[in-house]
Amino acid sequence: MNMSFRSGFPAFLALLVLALPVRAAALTKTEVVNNLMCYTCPQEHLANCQCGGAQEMKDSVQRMIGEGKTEQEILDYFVARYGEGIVSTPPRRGFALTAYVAPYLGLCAGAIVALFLVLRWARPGRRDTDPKSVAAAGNGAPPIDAADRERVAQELARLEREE
Amino acid sequence: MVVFGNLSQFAALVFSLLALVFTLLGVMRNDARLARSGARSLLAAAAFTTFASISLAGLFMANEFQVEYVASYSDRALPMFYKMTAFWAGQKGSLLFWAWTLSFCAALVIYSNRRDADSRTTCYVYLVLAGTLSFFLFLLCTVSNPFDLLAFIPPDGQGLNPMLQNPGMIFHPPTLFLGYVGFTVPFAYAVAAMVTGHSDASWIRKTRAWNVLSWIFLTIGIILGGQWAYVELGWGGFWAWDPVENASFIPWLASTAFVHTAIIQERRGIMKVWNMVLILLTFTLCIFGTYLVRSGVLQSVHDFGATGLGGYFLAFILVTLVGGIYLVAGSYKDLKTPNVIESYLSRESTFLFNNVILLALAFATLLGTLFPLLSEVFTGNKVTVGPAFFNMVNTPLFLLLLVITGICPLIGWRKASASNLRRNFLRPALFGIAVLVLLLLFGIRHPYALVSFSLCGFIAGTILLEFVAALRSRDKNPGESSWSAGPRLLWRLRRRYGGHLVHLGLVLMVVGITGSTALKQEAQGTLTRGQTLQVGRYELRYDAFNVYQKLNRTVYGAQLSVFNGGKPLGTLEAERRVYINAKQPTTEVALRTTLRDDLYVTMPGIGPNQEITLRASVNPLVLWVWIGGVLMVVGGIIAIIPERKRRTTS
Repeated sequence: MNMSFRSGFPAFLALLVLALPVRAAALTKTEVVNNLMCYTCPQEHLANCQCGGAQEMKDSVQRMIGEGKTEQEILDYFVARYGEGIVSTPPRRGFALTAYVAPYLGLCAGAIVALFLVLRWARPGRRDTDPKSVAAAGNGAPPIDAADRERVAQELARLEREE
Repeated sequence: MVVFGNLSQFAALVFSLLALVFTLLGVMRNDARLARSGARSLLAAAAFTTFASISLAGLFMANEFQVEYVASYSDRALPMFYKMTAFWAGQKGSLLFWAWTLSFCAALVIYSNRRDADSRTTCYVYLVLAGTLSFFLFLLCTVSNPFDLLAFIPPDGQGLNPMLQNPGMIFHPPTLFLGYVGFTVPFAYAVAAMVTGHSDASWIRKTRAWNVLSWIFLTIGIILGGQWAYVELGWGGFWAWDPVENASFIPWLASTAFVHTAIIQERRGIMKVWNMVLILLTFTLCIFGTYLVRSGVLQSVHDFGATGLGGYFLAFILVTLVGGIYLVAGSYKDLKTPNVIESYLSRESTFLFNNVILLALAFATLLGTLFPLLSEVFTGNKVTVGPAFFNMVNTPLFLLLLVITGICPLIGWRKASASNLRRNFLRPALFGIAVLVLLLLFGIRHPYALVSFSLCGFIAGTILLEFVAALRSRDKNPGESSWSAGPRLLWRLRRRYGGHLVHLGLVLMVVGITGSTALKQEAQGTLTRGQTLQVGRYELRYDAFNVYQKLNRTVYGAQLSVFNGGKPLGTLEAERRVYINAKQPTTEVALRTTLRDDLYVTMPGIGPNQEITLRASVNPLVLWVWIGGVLMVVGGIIAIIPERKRRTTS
């Protein structure tokens, strides 16, 4: 029970916080504006652009949010007016999907490799293959019992606090 | 002065190449004398790079507009103060500054090794430093010479871009360069360790100050850049996920991973291969950042445009990467350790996962930055990648990083016991839950804000409780109060608590970033004198319009009175500035900063009858971003102060 609590609780908490609904709060202007380019300065992201055209677009976004439109509806409105290039976020389909997925695939692959390594390195029998411990055993060192192990662990913990 | 600068630059290249030859021969013949000659040549190269830099600064001071670089970035009206900073305003000068910083670092390395008996290792270190310096000096002398002359002498220069006329220009570029350049030294030591087979933790110990200092400078550079963007650009944010911003953030992430795992190698002697890979990655990404600004391949506010240097940088990156991978592969047997950790539940394993998340973040940011290019190559469509994409992909990864930042200090080195962990974990988790409940009670419903603030509470709880526990165990000493024991404990264990301070700084930054993005309020309006604009809890009244000359600019300023619930809080001046030699007027932000929020006002338009268009926002908690940044830097500095002075015996 303890074991499952120990390993499960942090993971549970992490999952709980990450699973909170992303769209629970009201849509803000910044969230929509971050997805758009400026129509008068095509190289500028709308969020950073200070020109008059950018301000018009930001006002339109604010008005549409007030009318209760969703983020997608607002983006569709601008795409219909200015074309696909007005959206500064890669589409979530085709090749562009890789930009969204690849970092998480990388994260999963990295986590699996790390997990594999940690489990392999921490394998109980592993220490017996350590040349130093084999050599120590060969020199007739007495076996360490559980109490000694605990004492060593406590001393190490104390040293770490001191250090 | 032009001739002197040019000659110095060429002399620096000659000496740097000599250093390269001497050190190369030194390692081939294993000759300590050649290593010493290499060091001397490197010192001479450093001296001549300094002379070249002084010459360029002098040319700016003397308004020598026949020098193309001076004419492009300065004019007679530019205050002396900014003439100095114009040195690194353009591509050529910043490249010379890069070379000068590197030569200075090389001189410091030579000085610190003056009594080192291991000449073979130092020879390899000098070889890498000389190679890198030669590359930069070669570019300066051949393709990108800041001392190039125009065919005529213009009466005045073109002036410095008004956006660069900000105090941020003094510290942001140099600190960022110091961060980039600083990682050359640990990289050089890593190469030396791999080639010589001295792959124990000695190179990590020797370069620890360099690693952390470079990380500190990179951190300062990034934070100052954010602060500068916030007060200068007028769009109300401090991070736009601009390609060049990302180019400094990506090596920061890799170096943060390295700073963590270097501790493991130092303490436990494991993860040698991984550390080599990380320092290689960090160094390459630093060069990549330098390349990105100069390649013209991506659109950016920082971009120097297509400079013709892209190919050279790509070649250098390729050589570094291939050479680095070859060395790591070649010394894999030496580097491989028994890799024994005592439990999967140990700090070593959490550091490994922290690395995975940091590198996933680096990868996500790199991919997003390069995606317009990749998309064009693979599909023919050049898509744009804006802030929404980076926020969407990176935010969950950041939250995961926060989770692990909180958990990591709860788990001891080697092996954590179940009861310890449970006890250690529960109380900080209660901190986080308390924060969550409080926020919900105050009516905050933004999901990311709730998650982020709660995790910040959790991490802060972890750090504070750990400190209190340590304090209690110290408090048992007779006659010592907690008040006096606290600072003493902080000082005595400064390496550990320096690290904790960095984490606490990160928490404050996240609080500021979350607050200012999730809880921002905005308003806009056109006002005539006496009219008011309400934004959040503030009321702005337009009182007067002033026009006046100041230094090299004409200022058009609207004087505004600020009220909160009818209570006057003072005045602000929102400005439009017209600089001499500037084509367009610029907007200057009026800012009222408190610990609770920033009132951020810009004036995008002025009507014919002095009616003004005001854009105002209330950005909550922004000051905590800067306080957090300062704390991160202070923590880093505390962590590298040597803990014990070693007595040397003659």
